[in-house]
Amino acid sequence: MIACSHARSLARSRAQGLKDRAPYVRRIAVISAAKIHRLDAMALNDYDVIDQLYDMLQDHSAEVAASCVCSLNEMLGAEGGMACNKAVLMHLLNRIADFHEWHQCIVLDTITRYLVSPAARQEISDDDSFDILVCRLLARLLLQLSWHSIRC
Amino acid sequence: MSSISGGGGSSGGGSQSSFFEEVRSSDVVALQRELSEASATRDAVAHREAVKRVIAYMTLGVDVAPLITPMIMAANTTDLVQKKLVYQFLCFYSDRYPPQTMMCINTLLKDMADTNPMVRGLALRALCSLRVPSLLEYILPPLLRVWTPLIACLLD
Repeated sequence: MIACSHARSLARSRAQGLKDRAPYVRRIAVISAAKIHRLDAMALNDYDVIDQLYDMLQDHSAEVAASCVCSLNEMLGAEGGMACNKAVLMHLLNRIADFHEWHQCIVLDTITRYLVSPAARQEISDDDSFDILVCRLLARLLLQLSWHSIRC
Repeated sequence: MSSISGGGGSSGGGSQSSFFEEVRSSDVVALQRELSEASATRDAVAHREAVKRVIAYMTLGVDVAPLITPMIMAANTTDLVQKKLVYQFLCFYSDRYPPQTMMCINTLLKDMADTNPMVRGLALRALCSLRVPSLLEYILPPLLRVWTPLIACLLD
C-alpha cells in the first residue's frame, strides 16, 4: 500500500517532468515512467501516461522521442509492445536518421512488428505509394550507416 | 592507510588503476577521514577524488555502507560529476540501508527545483531509482510539498 502511494507521488512528479523545458529532464522523465511502472504497475493508471508518451513521440528532441518508444515497449510489454499505426510509422521513419544507433534498432524492431501484423496489411494495402516511401526512407538510413562505417 | 594516500595523491585521470591495486576493508575508515577532511577544508578537487575512490571500492565489492552519511553530505555540491557519483552510490545502497537513504531525500527534492536542467534530471532519475518501499510514507509528504510549486512553475 505504501509502495503504491510512493509510486503515485513519483508518477505525479514524473508527469511534471514531462513538461520540463529541458530535453534532458524530459528524457529522464520518460525513462522514469518505465521505472515506476516496474515498481508498481498500477501507479500510472490515474495519469494517462501512456497517452502522454504517445503524444511525446512528436517531441522536438529525437532522444526524447526514441526514449518514448523504449518506455512504451517496456510498459506495454504484456500487450506485445507499443501499438503502432500508419501515422506513427511514418513519423518514426521520417525521424529515424536523427536517432542514435541503439534507438534505431529498437525503432526498426517496433516498425517490423507492426508491418507483419494483419492490421498493417489492411491499412497499407490500399496505398501504392507507401512501399516506395518506406524504401526511400530506409535507403537513406542505410546510406547514413554505410557512411559511418566508411568513416570508421 | 598508506595505500590510500599513495593512490589518491595524484590527479584523477592517471591514478585510476591504482584504485584497484590494494584493497582492504580497513581502508574504509581512512576513506571516511579523507571525505570529512575534504568537506571540512572545502577542497573541491580532493572531495571529488575521495568520492571517486569510494565508488571504486564499491565496484570492487568492498562494503562501503558506513560512508553513506558523508556521501550524502558530498551530494551537496556544485560539481556535477561528484553529484552523479554520489547518486550512483545512493541508488546502489538504497535497498539495503533504507534508514540512511532517507537522509538523502531532502537533497534530492531540493535538486529537483534547481535552475540547472542537468541537476533537475539527475535528481529525478535518482529519486525514481531508489528502491525503498519501507520508506515511502516518509518520502511522500515532503515530496508533495516540493512538487506543488514546481508544478505551478512548469505549467506557466
